[in-house]
Amino acid sequence: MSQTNKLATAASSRDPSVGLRAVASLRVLVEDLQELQIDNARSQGWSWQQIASVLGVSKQAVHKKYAGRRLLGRRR
Amino acid sequence: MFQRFTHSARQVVVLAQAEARSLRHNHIGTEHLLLGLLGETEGLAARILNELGVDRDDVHQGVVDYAGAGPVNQPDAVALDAIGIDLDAVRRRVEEAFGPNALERTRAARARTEKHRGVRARRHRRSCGEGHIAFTPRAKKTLELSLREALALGHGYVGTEHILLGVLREGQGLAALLLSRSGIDFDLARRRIVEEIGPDSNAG
Repeated sequence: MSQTNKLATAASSRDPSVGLRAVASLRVLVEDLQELQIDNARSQGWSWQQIASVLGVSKQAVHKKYAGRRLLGRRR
Repeated sequence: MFQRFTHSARQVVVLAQAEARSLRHNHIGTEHLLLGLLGETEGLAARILNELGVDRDDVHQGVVDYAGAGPVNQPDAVALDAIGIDLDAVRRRVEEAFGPNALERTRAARARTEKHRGVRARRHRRSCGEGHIAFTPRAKKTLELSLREALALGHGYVGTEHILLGVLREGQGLAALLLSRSGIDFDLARRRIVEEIGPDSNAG
């Protein structure tokens, strides 16, 4: 089966375990991307307030979760 | 608590912990003890359970069905494919902007930070095979009952068969549920074990 066909089959699957596994993976991916982007924003001098308003969450929420972590910044 | 446990019985506890960890569960319950009993194939309990038709893989599947598995720690490319997201494509784009292995580095850095932080830290240590996983009250009760069963039979040690008797006696946990789902008659199972060991025998 070609890659495209395989994808089409999987996407049309009604098996909950397929869909739920995808959601769980997506959540982890979102977490990774969010952290990467926030770190990038901080290293470019964005304030927590600016980051929070683009993400659509409160400043406290972002700050509580990410303050004190310098990920990519650490290697520079 | 474990002084009187035989080598096999201790193995059951070690295996129970390993089963909990591999399911990413944050507790050791009666279901993990049952998986431990089935996994310790040297033990009398495993033999009796097999003779009674209890299958390790069925029980494992039952645990996943009832209790689920713990949180996913990294994105699964196949799972994401299913909803039309190409993880490799995402990774390529991210790496174009942020350098090689940017996603992995972020995740690793997060894991390092979480080591030092509350609940997420504990969850991380568990998922990485570190740290202590606590027994549920029922699992603790089951182990206490196994000691009591041994003493009642006049045995000076706790073997895998006593742990199994403990599971049957406790009767309320997920292990008991899965056993009854396997069609086990608890009274018959108890009799079968007691026949096998009798008072003062030296089984494992």
